[in-house]
Amino acid sequence: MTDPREKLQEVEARRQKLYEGGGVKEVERQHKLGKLTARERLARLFDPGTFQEVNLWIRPITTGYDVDDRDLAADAVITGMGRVNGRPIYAYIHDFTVLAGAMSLGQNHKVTQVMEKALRDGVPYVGMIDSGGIKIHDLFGRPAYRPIVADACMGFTSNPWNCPCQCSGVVPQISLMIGPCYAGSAYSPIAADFVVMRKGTSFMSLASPQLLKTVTFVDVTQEEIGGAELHAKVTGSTDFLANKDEDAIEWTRELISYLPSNNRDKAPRIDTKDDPERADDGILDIVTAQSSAPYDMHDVISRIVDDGRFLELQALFARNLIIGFARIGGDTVGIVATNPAVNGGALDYNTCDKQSRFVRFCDAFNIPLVFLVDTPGFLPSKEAETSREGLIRHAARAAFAIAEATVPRVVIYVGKCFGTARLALGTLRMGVDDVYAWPTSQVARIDPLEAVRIIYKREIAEAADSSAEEQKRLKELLEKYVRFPYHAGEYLMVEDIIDPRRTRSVIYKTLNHLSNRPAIGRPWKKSSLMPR
Amino acid sequence: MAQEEVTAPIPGVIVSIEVTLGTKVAEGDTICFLESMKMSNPILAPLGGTVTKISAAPGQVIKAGQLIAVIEY
Repeated sequence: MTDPREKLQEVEARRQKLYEGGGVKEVERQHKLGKLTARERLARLFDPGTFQEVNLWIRPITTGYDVDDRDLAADAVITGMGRVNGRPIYAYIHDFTVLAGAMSLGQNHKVTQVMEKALRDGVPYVGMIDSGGIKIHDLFGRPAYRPIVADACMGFTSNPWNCPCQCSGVVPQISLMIGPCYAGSAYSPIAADFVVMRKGTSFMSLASPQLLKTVTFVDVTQEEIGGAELHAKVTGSTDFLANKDEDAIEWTRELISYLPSNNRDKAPRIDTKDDPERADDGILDIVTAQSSAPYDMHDVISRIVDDGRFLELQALFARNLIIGFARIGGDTVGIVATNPAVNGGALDYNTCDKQSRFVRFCDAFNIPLVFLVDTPGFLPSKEAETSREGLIRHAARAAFAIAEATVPRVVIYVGKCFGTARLALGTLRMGVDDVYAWPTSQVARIDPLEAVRIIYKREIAEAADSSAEEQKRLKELLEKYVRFPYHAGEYLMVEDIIDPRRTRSVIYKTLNHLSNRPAIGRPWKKSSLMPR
Repeated sequence: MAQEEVTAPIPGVIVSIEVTLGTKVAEGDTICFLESMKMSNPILAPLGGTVTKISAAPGQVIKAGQLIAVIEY
């Protein structure tokens, strides 16, 4: 007769052993690398006492190799559900102390389960990647074991590569790449909506340095082709660059607070005590009278949003454009803003990619968008026009995403915006709901200087002093036909010229007005195609 | 002693150089002003050190990626 208490003790003892992961030595090694263990990361992500683990007891597949004799706790991944700031979240967390977090059949099964549950339950999921790669033994067992392995491959729903696509646009997906992530291991987490990396220990690339050397005879370090800083600054593959695991996880907790749980929901309202109609006097001093002196648009943003809090995404990539989440009147808004402090706020192919992806995310998840615009336009570049980095192709994406969206969209012209830049940042005729301008704004369908060069081409060419003639004609044009800021109002490009000090209040009232409008109808289609 | 190159992020015309050979700069200090698309863009020191080379002058037309200065640290 089995004593229930004895049996319980036995189970608990085994559970504690499994909690040790790869053992004390491996845990030490992980700490020496400056990384937290999987369970330490888990404790930081979830609200205390809320995590419920699933599939701790999984038995790794029998392959016939020596690895079968090793104790691979939980098959190198911890999966389960818990709460983050009170909200339900699913998570999978690789355990690097177990066979370097090798991605085995069992691990794939556990991870797939998490993703499928997230999709079914309408709940976001977080993945923490820290894995040396696929567990090769599981791909083909030793001769006598092949039928077992083959069977398992077909029986398991080993599809963490399919799930991110199914979940895309339905539930928010967040990947923390806080360890190695190569080749096939990377395909799944990179498809998430948000990616967080950590200096020094995050590596993501298609080929490992060894493979690169074998094929191309070039020597590279893993930092060079896949380090966190490379991805944060150059490839744009990461949304936040953390210094420590703790920071990466803390940032993730904050990110989640801005998002709805799924695409049928709105983001939770967080009532700050910040009066949504608060006026801000200091804002007038930011944009100086001389239009060529660059200011930092972050200053404008912080004055408009609740408590000045702004969670920036891709802060180190395409810094001439700012994207991120904030709240106005307690509700999440997505901010897209040009930044005159960097390259004068000029647009390029990277800013177009950065903004179009963000606009689409906000549209998918019912987050209204606010555009703050001050840009001299697209940066003309021979290299960009004559390479695969085609400017027009990228500019079209930016405009496309704005036109495709149906969430409330508000544009504020803070400074300059001429011609094609207007299309890249949204106009009324493209479907933007409301557009306002500051008194210091200069908005026109073409840069007046360019207009003068075209209209008075002959006069300028024939003049004794072309430059002076050009300036004379420009002065005439500006005095008679194009008076800023009124020009935009005269031609219905903006709906009102507002007091900058009341920008926050204007945005709040506009979004409030639009907050319960019925869904905008679009012609039936399976999905929009991606512009080139 | 390592060297860090300060290059132009965008093409433009140098308006002014704010340092001289031997100036000690901190990260974020302005090295020069580069005018592009009617905007005067400050080009900042990417790290702290000593300016050991200046290869641009006011009025000079600069290409994207062109060397402006070298900082030794």
